[in-house]
Amino acid sequence: MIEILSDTALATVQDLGRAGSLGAGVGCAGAMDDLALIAGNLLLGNAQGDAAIEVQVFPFQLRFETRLSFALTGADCGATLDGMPLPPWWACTAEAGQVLRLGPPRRGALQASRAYLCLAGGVDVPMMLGSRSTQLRGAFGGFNGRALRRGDRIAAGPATAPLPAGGFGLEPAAIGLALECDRVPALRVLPAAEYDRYTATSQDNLWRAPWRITPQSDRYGYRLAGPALEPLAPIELRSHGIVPGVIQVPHGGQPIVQMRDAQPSGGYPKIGTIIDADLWRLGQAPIGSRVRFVRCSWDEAIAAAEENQRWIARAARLADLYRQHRAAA
Amino acid sequence: MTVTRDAVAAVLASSPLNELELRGPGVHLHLRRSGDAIVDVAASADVITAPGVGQFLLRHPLQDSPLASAGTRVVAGQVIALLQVGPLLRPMLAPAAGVAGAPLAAEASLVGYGTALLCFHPDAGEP
Repeated sequence: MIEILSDTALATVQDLGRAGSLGAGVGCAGAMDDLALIAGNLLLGNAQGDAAIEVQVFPFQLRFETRLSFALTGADCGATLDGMPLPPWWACTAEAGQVLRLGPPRRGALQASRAYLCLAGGVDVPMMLGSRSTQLRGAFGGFNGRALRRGDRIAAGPATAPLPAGGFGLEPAAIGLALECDRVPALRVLPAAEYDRYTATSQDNLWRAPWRITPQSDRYGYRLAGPALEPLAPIELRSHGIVPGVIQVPHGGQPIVQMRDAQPSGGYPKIGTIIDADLWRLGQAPIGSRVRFVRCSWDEAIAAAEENQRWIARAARLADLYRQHRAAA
Repeated sequence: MTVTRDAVAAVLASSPLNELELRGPGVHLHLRRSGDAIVDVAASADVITAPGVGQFLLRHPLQDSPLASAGTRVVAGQVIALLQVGPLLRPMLAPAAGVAGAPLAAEASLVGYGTALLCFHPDAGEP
């Protein structure tokens, strides 16, 4: 059991999202950085998709009411446990009464903006429509269908494999799966349905311009700033189904990328779709930072997903071996 | 094969000896009989050695500065260096409250079991 000490809004319980309900008008939700969530769970010996707490406003503090192992992944927040510094992407065991504090994310190379706190046994909230993720729009799922507040007490599921004394960590995914274009973080994009209805200059700009993440960016969507994307002729569409990762172009030509809390339909034209395998990169890109879009093919998108799976499988194998080896020692 | 402190303490307890010191790659145990109990004999300066094969890291891969540069005060159990094996990061922990000492191996060098990695100065009077 943990108790939230911060009066911060916007920290939510998330897992890998609510798949299969878009057709019923229910958005996906889920961790903005799914690889960080999976890595935290792997460190603890949890199921990969166990629920965790996604933190995006700092500082953030909580108290452990009972002895509990936990993992912190995602942004490097200079975390401390009762004042003792913890490395990022780290799992260890807290004693009852200890306070975990996350500071503002470190800036610089490989900067990130969201931290994930996984608990041994997973965050224990009810499964709703196949997921424990918070659906803020519908006010259900997660912890009472809302963001966490000061005084909330959150339980962990049944304890898993014991963690070796001193804990251990994983190399952050941003290192093993690094992707840059001209030294700017890159995202692979499939051209979408209306791509051919944009001017050649706009198509070129999509791939060549650095796109700045504006302050109007959150779990619902990221508004990007760059050269205006102009259609050959005005495009008017009826509302249609959309998925996280879709790059829409509203009037004005500044794109919006739909993210995990996006509504399941929209009417703006779609110039591209960030592939699933890379959406975590945008989920971690801080406001004010820049990203590049790299055109990819369907086969390359599948290969990228497979590369992520290989990274996960290797991390899982080594983490399991290490826990077993140390438990036997 | 790993030698645990408790196993050595049991050997000492059931022996006619008063004191037992065991040194080997990656292990240094120094125990003494104190009444009916077996206690650790403190050392004034420790050398932290590698618990296995890996790449020795004073810095976390995400960070520019060392986890604990020489002269930094640390608490018992604090991570002061890392040993990387593939994507796995194993901790080198401060054995007590004290001050991190000089590194004895180069950053990012490949080290083997028992390699001396860095000095550590436990606080005087600490067990």
